[in-house]
Amino acid sequence: MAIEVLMPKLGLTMEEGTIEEWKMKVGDTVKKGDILFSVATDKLTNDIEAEDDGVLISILVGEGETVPCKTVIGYLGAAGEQAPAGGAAAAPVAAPAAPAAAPAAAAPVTAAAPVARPVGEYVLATPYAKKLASDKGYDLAAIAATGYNGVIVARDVEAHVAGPHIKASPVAAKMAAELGVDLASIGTDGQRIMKADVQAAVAPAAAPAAAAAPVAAADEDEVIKVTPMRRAIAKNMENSWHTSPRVTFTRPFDATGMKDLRKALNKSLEPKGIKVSYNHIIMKVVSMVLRDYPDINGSFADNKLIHHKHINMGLAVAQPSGGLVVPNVKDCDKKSLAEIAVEADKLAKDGKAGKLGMDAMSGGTFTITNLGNYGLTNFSPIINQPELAILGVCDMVDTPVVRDGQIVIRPMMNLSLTADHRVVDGVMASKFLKRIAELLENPYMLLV
Amino acid sequence: MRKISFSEATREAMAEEMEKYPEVFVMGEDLARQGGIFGQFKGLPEQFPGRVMDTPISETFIIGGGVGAALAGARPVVDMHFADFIGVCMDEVFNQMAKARYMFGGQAKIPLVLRAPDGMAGGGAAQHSQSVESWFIHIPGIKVVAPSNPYDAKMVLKAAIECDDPVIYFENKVLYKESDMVPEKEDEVPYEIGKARVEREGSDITIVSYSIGMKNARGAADLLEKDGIHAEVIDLITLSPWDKETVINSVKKTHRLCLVAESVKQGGAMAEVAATVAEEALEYLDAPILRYGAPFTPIPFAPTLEKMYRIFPEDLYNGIKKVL
Repeated sequence: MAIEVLMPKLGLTMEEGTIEEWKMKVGDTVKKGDILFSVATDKLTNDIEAEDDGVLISILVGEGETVPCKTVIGYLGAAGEQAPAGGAAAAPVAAPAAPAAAPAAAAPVTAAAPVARPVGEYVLATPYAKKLASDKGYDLAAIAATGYNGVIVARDVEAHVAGPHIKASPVAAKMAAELGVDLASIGTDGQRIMKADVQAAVAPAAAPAAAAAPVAAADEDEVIKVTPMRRAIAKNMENSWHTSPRVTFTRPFDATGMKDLRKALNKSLEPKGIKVSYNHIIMKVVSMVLRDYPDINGSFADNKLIHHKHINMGLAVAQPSGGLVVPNVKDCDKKSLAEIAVEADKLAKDGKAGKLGMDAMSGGTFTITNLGNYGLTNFSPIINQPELAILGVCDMVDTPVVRDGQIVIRPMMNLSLTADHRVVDGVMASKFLKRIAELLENPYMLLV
Repeated sequence: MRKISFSEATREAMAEEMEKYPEVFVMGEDLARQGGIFGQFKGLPEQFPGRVMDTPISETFIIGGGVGAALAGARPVVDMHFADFIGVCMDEVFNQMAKARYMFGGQAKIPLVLRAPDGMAGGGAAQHSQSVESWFIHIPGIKVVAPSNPYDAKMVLKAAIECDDPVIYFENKVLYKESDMVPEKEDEVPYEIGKARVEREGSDITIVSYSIGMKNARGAADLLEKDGIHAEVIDLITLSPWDKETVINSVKKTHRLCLVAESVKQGGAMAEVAATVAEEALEYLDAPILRYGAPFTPIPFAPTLEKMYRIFPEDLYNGIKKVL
């Protein structure tokens, strides 16, 4: 009896998903827990594990196609078993893209994919090809040449136009259509174009690529196609770098009070199996201070400052395989430390496993990132757009300090706040940090 | 409709024009006595006594006398025997024949036809085989025509005789002997000097030529057709003033251009066509302009070398295949 493979629902707001990649092909034996395929939404790409053992006997929804959640996208069964007829229960969302019904559809398409040439290279093309490309608004550099001597001729431009080989996520395609961006002009070296790629393409001021020297790989160098996550991180960071004029303010505080608080709390919470970390305490404190700094708990665009009603505290979570996700604790200022501890630990665990839903990933208003474990005492994090600031938490170091005229050893900790100077001036940032330090040094004030 | 030779077609044109216009007369070397060295004037001396005149061996006189007669009201047709000989009387051609109308402020006209047999005919060597049409397309005041088949030969010659400006009529020596269908007189369509003809319609490449070069154009189109490549073939017929519009319209359709002529490639008539298309229709070209012509060397006498010197349809075919 064949087992249905469904498009998963990865978050409350997820309605449809796109098959990023089938990790198995028809005929492969699949064990429960094997990565069967990956699903892309506009937020993230998740690897999906097989929920049963079996042989992948059919693939109904091909790579790059988008279907609603819970649609049958393939079947697992016994070797040689026939897949049920008329499998795909729900119609694909992307109307013209019919499901790849034939099981043999796994064969790679080897037509002209968009190409990437070194920036600044003179692209050989006939005058007519240039005119056609110009009329259609295409970037010649992205067009594969089949003409004499490697020259782009008219048919290459035509093929480029007609080519169904531009892979783009549904959100990216929609956004590109709305903004009038030609997907073919977005060079991702043949990789699927994601929302961030389109955003990068429409922000010419934020696109340093044109000015940057071409990156050339020497013979022995290894060239690695990066994951969609790495691409998204790269675009987001680049975007942030060009969006926010940032200043990093670093301030030390005496962590004695925080240390004592954690010790006491964990002792009393132990029976409940809850463990409070310094991160949790800092999340709680920062989110409470943010109530008094609505300008920092905001976003800025088109000369309009948005004060967010909720304080959703993001926490940067590194993934074991590399990469980074930033889930957030909703209404963090209103939650107790125990609640924050439970919720943040679950988000971190899911984040490391790549299992976060979109709900957890969206809506953040501030971010905390902690590199203290690695002995850092100072760093300059980059703002997670469209937020206005990010707090870098550094290592706790026993340091000789002067108290009441005496040199004493205290656990000192640095906080590195990177703030967007468009909105957050130096005084505001310093006051904000000062208040955080006060509360962390005197955590009983949280009760006030 | 009947099948006649190029040579016979020009003879018919002469006879019909001499019949129609008493002021038309012919002079040159060996015309009355011999009927022309290629037989193109045969029968005319008998048919029109006194109007076909042999001259001394003086090209300077032949053209100078023709220009004088034209100024005096005649419509002379003068024969150069070999186009190679025009150099002897160059001043009469480009300073007198071409300029008289303008020097007299339009009060005079030179309705003269200069017939110039040209081309390689096998063993003619460097002084009796040349195609020199490109010299004359550089001279304002002269019209230059070069038909490629018997019907055009007749109609273009008639148009040249009736034209009030001097016309140099290049007639290829090999084409003289070739026969093709020519309509009866009542079905003839007059030729308008300056018009090219799209001889064969196609979509993939435009091949332009004239005179005997059309054999290469047609031959290459036939070879390409076997590969499913549809060449558009244009016969320019008139080299000055040439039919820019027809060529450019075709290039706009096919996006590729191949030019061929028997004359030396360097500085040839086709260079003008190539340059004009590059100037006025560059953005329509989807391949480099291909241009075929003779190497830049005097025409060899040895038959084997003359064969090497020639262009063949296969040359065009191979070149075109590379840029498609």
